[in-house]
Amino acid sequence: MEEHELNATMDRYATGDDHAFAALHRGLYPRLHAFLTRMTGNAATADDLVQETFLRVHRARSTFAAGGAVVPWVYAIARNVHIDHARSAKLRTTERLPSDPGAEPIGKSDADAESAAIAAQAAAVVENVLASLPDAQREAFVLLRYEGLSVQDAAAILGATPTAVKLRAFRAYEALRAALADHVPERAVAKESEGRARGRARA
Amino acid sequence: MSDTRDVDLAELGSIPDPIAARAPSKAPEAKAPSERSLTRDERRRRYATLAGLAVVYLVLLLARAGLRPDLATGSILLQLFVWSVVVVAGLSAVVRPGSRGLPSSVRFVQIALFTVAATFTVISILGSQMDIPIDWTVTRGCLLLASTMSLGPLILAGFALRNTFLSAATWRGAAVGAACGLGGSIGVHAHCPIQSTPHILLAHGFPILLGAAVGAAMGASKGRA
Repeated sequence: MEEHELNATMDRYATGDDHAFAALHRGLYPRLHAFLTRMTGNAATADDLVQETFLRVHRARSTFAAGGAVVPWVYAIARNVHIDHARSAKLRTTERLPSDPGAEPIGKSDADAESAAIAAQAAAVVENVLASLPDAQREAFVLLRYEGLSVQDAAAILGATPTAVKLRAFRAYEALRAALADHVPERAVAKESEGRARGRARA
Repeated sequence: MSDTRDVDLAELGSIPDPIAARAPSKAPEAKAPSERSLTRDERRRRYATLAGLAVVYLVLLLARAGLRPDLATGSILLQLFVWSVVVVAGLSAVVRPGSRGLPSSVRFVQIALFTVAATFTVISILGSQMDIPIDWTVTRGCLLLASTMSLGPLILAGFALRNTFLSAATWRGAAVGAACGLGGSIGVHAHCPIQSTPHILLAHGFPILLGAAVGAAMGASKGRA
């Protein structure tokens, strides 16, 4: 569903059209689930948090401004759900569960086995480093890099200035880049090879 | 420390996505929750009703306490009018959505909070006399009345705005609380004719600090959407 269609659907929902919820849910669920999986490192936890997010969307629907943008609005609510979950998790002092493998990887049969192994290792390093970052840096990085939000939207969601958001995201990037260089040096070699191959193809 | 001038966000794209290999989640079928929730029009009516109740509360307390004899003086009326405008503008700045329906920036909220406090302070100093000493008995009475006057609007605002702040809930709560406190200051200033600057700043101005502190706490605990 296009963004303007989602906005119109949320507008209808905000004015009392309960039938709009199903379309809203279909349109936003994959993005929110991916976001919360990246933030928590656990797809099962993300399942629960997405449900909570939609419940809060329902409760807060009257605050959605006419003509507003629903995607960053919903991300802000999802972030709040994650904050509350993280705070209660600290009180419960549960250990972080290892990341589950998720659904069957797509297209694996077509991928070079070594590239797939490097990619998997890089993904694991990124996940571990993201989990160890301060919340503020992780949120900024995830919103800008993976969720594709603008700096302005991310700043509104995080309640920070655009400058602060950029700086947080960049600090996260530096930590991730350093970890990838340390733990997955083959990735740099693979990227270099890819670059040379592209150069030869263009020549 | 990295300089923001050097921040090139395009470089972020070189970091792989930890969940890229997973198939995207498919949304299960869902219906709207059965729990009752306000629609946009219902919320507007609620805000109007609660704002009206806050005004009625202040007017009733003021009627009970009595008006100052010099209320009709131009300078007093001007003070009360300017502060009233600041209350409405402050609340509006915090509550009204900004661009694309997203909350106003946290910097804007902080400026609103500062403006509420600064406007009261500057106008109080300009409209009173520094050399009149403070009478602690009278000041205590005004302090109690001012705090009581701000409490009603604060509770009503807390009820109206619970679970509505998308971000910076503590700051927004503080700004709303300060504006409600200024409402209490307006009420007590319409009653108390004392022209002592220390008395006005302390007894009439205290609700702004109290409101900001209580509002921040309420925002932090119950304000997040």
